[in-house]
Amino acid sequence: MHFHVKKYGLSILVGIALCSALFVGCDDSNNEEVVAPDTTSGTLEISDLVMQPGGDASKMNFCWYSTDTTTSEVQIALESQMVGTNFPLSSAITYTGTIATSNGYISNKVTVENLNENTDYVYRVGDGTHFSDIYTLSTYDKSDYHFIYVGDPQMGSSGDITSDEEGWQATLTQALTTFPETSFILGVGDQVNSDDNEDQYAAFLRPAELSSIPFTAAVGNHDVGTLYQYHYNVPNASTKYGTTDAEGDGDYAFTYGPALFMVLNSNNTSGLSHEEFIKEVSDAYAHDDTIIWKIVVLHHSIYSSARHSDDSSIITRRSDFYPIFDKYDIDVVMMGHDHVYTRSYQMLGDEAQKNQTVNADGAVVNPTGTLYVTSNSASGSKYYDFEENDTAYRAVRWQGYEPSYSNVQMRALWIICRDS
Amino acid sequence: MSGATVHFERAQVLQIQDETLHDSDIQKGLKVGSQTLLVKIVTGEHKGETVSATNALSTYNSVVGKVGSSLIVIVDQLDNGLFKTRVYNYNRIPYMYMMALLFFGALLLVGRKKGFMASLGLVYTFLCIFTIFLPLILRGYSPLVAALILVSLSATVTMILLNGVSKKSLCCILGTVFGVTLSGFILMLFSSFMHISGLNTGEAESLLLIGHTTGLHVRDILYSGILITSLGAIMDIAMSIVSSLYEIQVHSPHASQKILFQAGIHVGRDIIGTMSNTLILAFTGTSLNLLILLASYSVEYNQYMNMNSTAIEITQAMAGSLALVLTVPLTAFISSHILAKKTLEQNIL
Repeated sequence: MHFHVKKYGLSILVGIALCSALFVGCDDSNNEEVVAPDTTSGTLEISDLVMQPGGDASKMNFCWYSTDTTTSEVQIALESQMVGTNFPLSSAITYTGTIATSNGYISNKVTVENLNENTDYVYRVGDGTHFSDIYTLSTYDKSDYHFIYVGDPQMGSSGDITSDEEGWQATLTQALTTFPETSFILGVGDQVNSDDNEDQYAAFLRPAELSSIPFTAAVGNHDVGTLYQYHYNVPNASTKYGTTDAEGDGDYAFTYGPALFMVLNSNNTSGLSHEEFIKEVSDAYAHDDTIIWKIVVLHHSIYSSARHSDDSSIITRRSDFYPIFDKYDIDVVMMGHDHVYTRSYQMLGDEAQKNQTVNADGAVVNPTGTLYVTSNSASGSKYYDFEENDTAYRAVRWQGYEPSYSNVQMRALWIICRDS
Repeated sequence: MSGATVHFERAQVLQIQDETLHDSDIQKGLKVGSQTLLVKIVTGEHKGETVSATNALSTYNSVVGKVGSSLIVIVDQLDNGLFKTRVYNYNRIPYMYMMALLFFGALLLVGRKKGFMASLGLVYTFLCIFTIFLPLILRGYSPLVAALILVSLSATVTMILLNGVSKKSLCCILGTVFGVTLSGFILMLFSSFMHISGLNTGEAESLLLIGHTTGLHVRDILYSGILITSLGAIMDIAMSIVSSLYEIQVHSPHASQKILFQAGIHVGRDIIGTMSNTLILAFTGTSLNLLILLASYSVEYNQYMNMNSTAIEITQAMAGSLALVLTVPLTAFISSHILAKKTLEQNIL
């Protein structure tokens, strides 16, 4: 708050000085401002536009489909510089990126840098000559922010893709209305039902919210395959760890304020591969005092409550992964795949650590072990029932047969994840 | 998977390097915690190497490594050569072979030549499953047709091995094939009334993913499964009827078709008492865990009777058993017609 006042205070002083200068010695006839009409915005047809967080909170990754273009560009400027509906080209910064062909489309990927906190931007994407419509994106405080955690939207899985898309859109609308100023949306995989289906990707990426709020994509068992690498521009995707034969889908990591997020591709069942990735990333940030939280994101939940909870492939992953998360002191693991909301106890060595210090709000203070959370369907395309057997590791499990999401508040000192 | 490989290999425990174990809070006598074991890898790329393997024990997967144990380990290796080894499970394969050998041994000792033929028949059936049935359904062919082919081949070869090419074999083969087809038909009929199919099984999701790339007919797998399940029991009862009728016909060569048929029914009545239990109890035994869960969690009657898994188990048990019972008159009818010697007048005509 204090910082904003300082910034605005300075602007006001400068403004007053300028206005005074005008009144004192101006000649109106020399002050005609000619605003050139914006003839290039909206001249390019694009689709499937989506953003991912960049390597840190000052960067943003863009990805979109176009046809017959040969270069990819993003132009970004302050929203305050907009004159009417004209894109403020003179103050905009242009970033160029890469292109690749996919199914007859061009997949464009660009990274934008030097974003400030608490700023409203406008941007457009294009090929240097023709550009899309103008979009907005806003950044917020990176040391005290919140993100929306969604699970398995799995477009197409119910058999009725229109209904799945409506459910997904409704969840996004409700989440972002209830929790405005969201920094990003965290997904845990299974965005689509069939990895090679463009209609399903189109349905998933159609909500307008995805062009103004970044979405962290993860590779689910339904996504692993051809199109994933063309629809998401994830930051720092490893080419060595966590990849599958599909390529372009390795483990990746990014920071956002006090949190380090490591998104693993759990379709790759080599624990060693993921361990080397976590080690590499943890080492890189070992001396960075601003990083307080380590969060892992992966698709195949290893502590869940529905039909996948006792799959032998899940039990094998559990015994493979939990020692790694214990070793590298991971605070929270966010997962999906099993379509029932489940929150574990603090877990260490595969055992519930029930003796924790709990504050007046019921939150754990300086907890031991790791928290494992599993999400429900964010679109309503598929719900699982609880398994009849209960498990020693779950603190809360919920299935309301409605699309759901969670809001996660991130602060330098604590993470708040509400069950209600 | 690129960048890394995951292989399951046999290994021998040489030494317990470190262990922290304690009793599970949930299940007495079960050890949880961790071990670090020095193992010698016996198969695969690292055959002969001595490495340290980690072992994470939990209530749901408690494998206690002891010096000399034969275990299965997972060798998780990156492309650059770096690898780690962890314990997967006990090596159960030797005991499975032992049990199989004991089974075949007993079959030979007790059954002599027929026992030997029976074991050949069993081996042939399994070869058919892996080389004909599974490849066919994974290429998108109808599981029902594939199962029918499997059942016909299995019954034919088994019978010929046991009784040579003879009327006895023919009766038995026909009785078996018709009986098994009947079980499939009954299951399909009732499944359509009750809205059950392969899509309602626990593995449906994985099967659908496989179906996406192979053309597998997930729905029909359920109906084809019952043909294989009931094959053994139906072959058994068919053979019992045929064998009895054959003996009667040999000792009373002038017994008419009608007499033979009646005899078949009477013999059937005696055996059906124990045979009818076969499939029902087999399904009950494999569903024991489910029964216990339902009994102890006080699930309401309307819910548990109509759960997909319950409905599927009950329908399969009933369809198989019904077909089993009907195989008696069916086989008696077929056999009596084939075995009965035609009267002089019929021969002339």
